[in-house]
Amino acid sequence: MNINLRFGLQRDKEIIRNLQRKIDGLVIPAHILAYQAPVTAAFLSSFANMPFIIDPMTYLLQHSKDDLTNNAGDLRASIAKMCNEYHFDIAKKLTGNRQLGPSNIPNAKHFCNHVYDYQNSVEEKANTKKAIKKYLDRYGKGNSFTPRFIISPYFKFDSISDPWYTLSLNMGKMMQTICSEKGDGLDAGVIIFLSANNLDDGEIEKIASDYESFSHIIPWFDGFDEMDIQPATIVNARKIVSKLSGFAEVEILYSGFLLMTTAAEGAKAVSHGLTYSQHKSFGVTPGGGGMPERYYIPKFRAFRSLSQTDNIFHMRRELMCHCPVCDELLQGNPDNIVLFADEPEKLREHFINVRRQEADDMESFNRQSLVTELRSVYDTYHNLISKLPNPDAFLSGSNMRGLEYLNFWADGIERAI
Amino acid sequence: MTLKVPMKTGKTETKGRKISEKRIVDVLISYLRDNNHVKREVRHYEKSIDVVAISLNGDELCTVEVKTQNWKKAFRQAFVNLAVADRSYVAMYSKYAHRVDIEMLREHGIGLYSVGSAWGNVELLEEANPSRYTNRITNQRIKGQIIGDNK
Repeated sequence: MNINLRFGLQRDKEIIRNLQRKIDGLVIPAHILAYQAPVTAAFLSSFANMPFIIDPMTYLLQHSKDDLTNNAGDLRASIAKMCNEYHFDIAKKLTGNRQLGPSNIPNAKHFCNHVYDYQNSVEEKANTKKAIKKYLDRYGKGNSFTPRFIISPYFKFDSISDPWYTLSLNMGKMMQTICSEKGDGLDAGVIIFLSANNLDDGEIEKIASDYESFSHIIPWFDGFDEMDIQPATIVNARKIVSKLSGFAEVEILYSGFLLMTTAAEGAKAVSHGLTYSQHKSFGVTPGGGGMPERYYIPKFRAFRSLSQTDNIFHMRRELMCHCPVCDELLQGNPDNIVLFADEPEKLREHFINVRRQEADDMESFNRQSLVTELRSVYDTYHNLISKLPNPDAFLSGSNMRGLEYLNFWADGIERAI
Repeated sequence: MTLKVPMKTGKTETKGRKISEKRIVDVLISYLRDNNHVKREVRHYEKSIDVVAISLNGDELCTVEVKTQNWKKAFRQAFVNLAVADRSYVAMYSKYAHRVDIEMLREHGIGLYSVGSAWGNVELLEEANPSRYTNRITNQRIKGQIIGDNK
């Protein structure tokens, strides 16, 4: 299974470059590319051979003005720049009094043309500033500036009767036409932004049938919080991946370990950020302050705060990780967990090391052995972990304090689809 | 996604007056200061420990998590603190200290203070056992930080 790392922060560039042999590709959000185009484009070009795609982020147009504006009431700079690339007056519409509906979205042909040109013009963006030349000289211009495929504008829908569903599908089909007309050899891909918990089998069949002509499909399961998920939702996600994989190459946008297991249903890749973005909802995450550093505990397939990890490793030393980063830093002594606080970039390196191993393990996925392992980890460690505060309660609202999620995963993975 | 932010007043009604968590911390610190270097809100990774007391000879570092009513929340924090403290305690407002499940604290070697609103009104209801899980590096760092501050 492939790992496509989602690029989020300019400060992570050096870490990603160091980890490049552990990942298979990059996902660049369009608004980040728009905001710091030359630097981001030059970053992309600095890899010898790193496939990438650009997430057009068009679902942001569905948000209310309050979600997208700063305290002064102006559209956030990155979103404003992205909108200006897409359509001359979309930014103005976004800051108007009414939230945009499907009928306010620009004409499909016009919109898709601009979205295509935007995703296929990274080289121009890299060459707009002389200062970037120094950067390119340092790392060399090795990477292709062409994305793996072009992603059509997409929107979140609640059901297949939702007009946003129809609009997203139409945009996908229009992008297929444009890709074919442009003749650059680029395919059209789609992001299907849906909720896995409110679709029935008929709707899943209909989605699969509607998207049958696409060869690259990226499902984004809205708010698929793996720490707070019910088995029925897991089964639905598996069904969707299984149906789509029957005719297309499927890669999951925003994924933790649980969604990686859909490799068994045919998923070929996952994408997530460096320690974050294991799941994401339609809602805009409040900014500011930053998130605390977290350590990925391989046995738990989840992150814990450093204070909790310190406690956990001292109580159960066998949970200490033996990836190359941890072997070097911890040296078998749980006291050394504090060194991760001193060098937080090592947390990301550790996570990507473990994630690489998990992705490779998906090649020999064994359903029953994974289910047994998840239940065994729950039985062994739940009592201890349930005495700790819930690390994600603030963000997810989840009441899960211990390892209950592992049992839900086991149930959802075990059921026949 | 709904961002859930728990309502946190840190105050408890008592005879028409409210007792704040801060008042309990003040009373406790005043009591501990006789024999310890004491500091409140001590950074430990991403979180803060309510009170840290270090014996005057620098040998022992004790942590205290303070709550007016919610002893379970204090227990969870005190449980995390086992990885930095030589001894870890919970401190509760005296009116509600009887609600604490002493057996649960005892099982994990966590101690309990009962703290009233008046100066000196502090009682050690359960002594903590020495932690078997102390991270010596973070323990020494916090000792150095607090003793250094008090010099």
